[in-house]
Amino acid sequence: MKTFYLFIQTFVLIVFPAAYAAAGDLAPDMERILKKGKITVAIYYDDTPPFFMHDKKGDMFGLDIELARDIAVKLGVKLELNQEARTFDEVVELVYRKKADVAISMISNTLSRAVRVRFTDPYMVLYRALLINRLELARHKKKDEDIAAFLNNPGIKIGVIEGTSYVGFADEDFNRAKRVSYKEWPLAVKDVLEGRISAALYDEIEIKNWNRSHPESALYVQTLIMKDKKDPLSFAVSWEDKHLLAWLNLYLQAIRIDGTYDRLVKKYIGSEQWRKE
Amino acid sequence: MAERVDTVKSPLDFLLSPWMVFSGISAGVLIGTQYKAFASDIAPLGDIYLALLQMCILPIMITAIISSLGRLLSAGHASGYIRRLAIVFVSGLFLAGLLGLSLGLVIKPGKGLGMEDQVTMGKTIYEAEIYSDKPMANSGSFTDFVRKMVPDNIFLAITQGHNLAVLFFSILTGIAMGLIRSASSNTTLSVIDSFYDTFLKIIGWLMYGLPLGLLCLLADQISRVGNEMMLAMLKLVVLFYVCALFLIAVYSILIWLSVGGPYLRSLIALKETIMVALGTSSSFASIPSALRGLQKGLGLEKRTTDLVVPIGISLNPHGSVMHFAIATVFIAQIYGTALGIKGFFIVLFGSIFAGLAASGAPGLGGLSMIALALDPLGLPTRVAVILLAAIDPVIDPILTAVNVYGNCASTALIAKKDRKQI
Repeated sequence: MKTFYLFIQTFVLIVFPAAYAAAGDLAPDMERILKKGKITVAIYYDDTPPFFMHDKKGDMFGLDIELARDIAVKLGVKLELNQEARTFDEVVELVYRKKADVAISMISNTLSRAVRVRFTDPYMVLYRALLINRLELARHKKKDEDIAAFLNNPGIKIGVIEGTSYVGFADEDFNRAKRVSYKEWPLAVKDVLEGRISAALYDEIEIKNWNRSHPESALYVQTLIMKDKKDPLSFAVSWEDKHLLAWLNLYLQAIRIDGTYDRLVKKYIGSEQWRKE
Repeated sequence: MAERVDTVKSPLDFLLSPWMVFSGISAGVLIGTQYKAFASDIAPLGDIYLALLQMCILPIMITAIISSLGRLLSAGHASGYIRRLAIVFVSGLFLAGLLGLSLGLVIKPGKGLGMEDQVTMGKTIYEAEIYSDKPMANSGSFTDFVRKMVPDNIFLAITQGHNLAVLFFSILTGIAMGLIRSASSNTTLSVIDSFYDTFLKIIGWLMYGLPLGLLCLLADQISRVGNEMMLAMLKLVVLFYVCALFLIAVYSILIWLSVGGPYLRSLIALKETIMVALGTSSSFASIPSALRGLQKGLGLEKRTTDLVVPIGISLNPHGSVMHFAIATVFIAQIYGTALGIKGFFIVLFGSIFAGLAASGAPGLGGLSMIALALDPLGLPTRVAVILLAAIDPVIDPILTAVNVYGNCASTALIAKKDRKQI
């Protein structure tokens, strides 16, 4: 009798899990999202054209938003946006703490962040850029001296925004200068305009945005886009979400092949058409 | 070396009349403002005309200087002239610089720029920087400027149009040839004279094309001016014009006082010269016309005018000095930099050197010479060059007129005592 029950137990334990598996087990991260019926995407709280911003009706749109929507469609789930994060580091934090499934928010894939989360391959590469006070350059830079070399000196103050990858980039690129942190971009620019700091370091998109909305600044600050210093952007997922990461990487490959990527880049980076919305 | 007076009247002489020239200028301005597409279509014609004028310049400059210096030195009157030349040139430059500087400080074109103007200027600067990757023309330092004056290969200098180097060579050669005082050097000087007369004759033919040439050139120049930038920098543009017209008036009086006779005669004698200067924006292209005007129109001695005018175009640029003086003050005012006594002298000397350096460098290279004044003051040269380049098509004509006319006035003062009726 005992042997029979033992046999039944073993049979059940072997056959049924196998049956389960045969019926369609999913990786736990994909399972989680599909069961929820929605994917939660973390995005920085403030508009950052052309990646994520509000249109005239108050809805969100932009390059990152369209990617997020498309991903939700391809997964067959709804899209939920989490815009609680007040800094870019916090966006990454939300993913780390599993409050969001993925961060699609102009996130630079730095090594320090990659300790806590996983990054996809880059979906866009920006250049690092500077807004530099012109009088400072005119007064102290020697004629043939390279601007970046001039700025990398003690006594020079370079402004960066807290909670962004540029804090680390400033230490990398201008390790001898003094790094000054600001909570908000307009405050940093104000200090450059007034000469309290020599330059502000940020990505080319934000710097171009500033010049577009404040063209008169060009009289007082010079824009330098550092074509040899890259800032690659990736999606971020929890370190445990191996399958989701693989899926997202495949997604990025797929949209390059089918032309979706080119279409989006052309719409948001290559032209100003989207501004009408 | 007698002058052969041309008594043959050509049926085309009507083209030389001031009315024809004036209508050419007006038509050019009209087309440039109203029919911009057409202006760029006819631009090549203007370019060819200008090229024809410029083609004769270097030969005329070289032959005029060598021949006149040579004769001057072989006759042995040199030192008086040289001294007078130096005094007139130096004082002229200082006065032009002082005028520009003072007016700039008084009128303050760079203070209180409205937001709209700042936006327009900012956009122009940003676009110029972002979309052109080429580095700014190397403005160089004062030592570079002096170094460039001495050519190590005169043929290369001529080919590349390094006017200052050619000038230096011609002066040296003229002096040397004059001091030789042999029969063969006399012959050479005569040969050089005949070359000079030849090129002057070619220029004479080209003057028939002046109305049409000016029409095309001005149309093109004016069509290039962006209206917005003009308005944004209007105060500066007007200041340039006011200063220029004041100087021109002063020059006309100086010429009249030196030459004597009715005031109107001294004005009319140089009318063609001023037209060429305004239309071509090239002081070099105006040399032949200036020589004719001073010699035939005002009866000044050929020997002195042949020497002073070509040298003066390079070394006596009142217009450029005034331009840089006002522009430097303008930039200082934009950035709120106060000019103390030290700054005052930096601007004065800086704009004089910049003006001299600019006469050797064509186009934007000339503008970037403003670095000679701005660098010591710690002001951004790049912004200055971009802003000045934007209004250059409107400013260049009148500044060239000041350069040329100022040089004529200087010549009239130097050649004063040796006036001969030819």
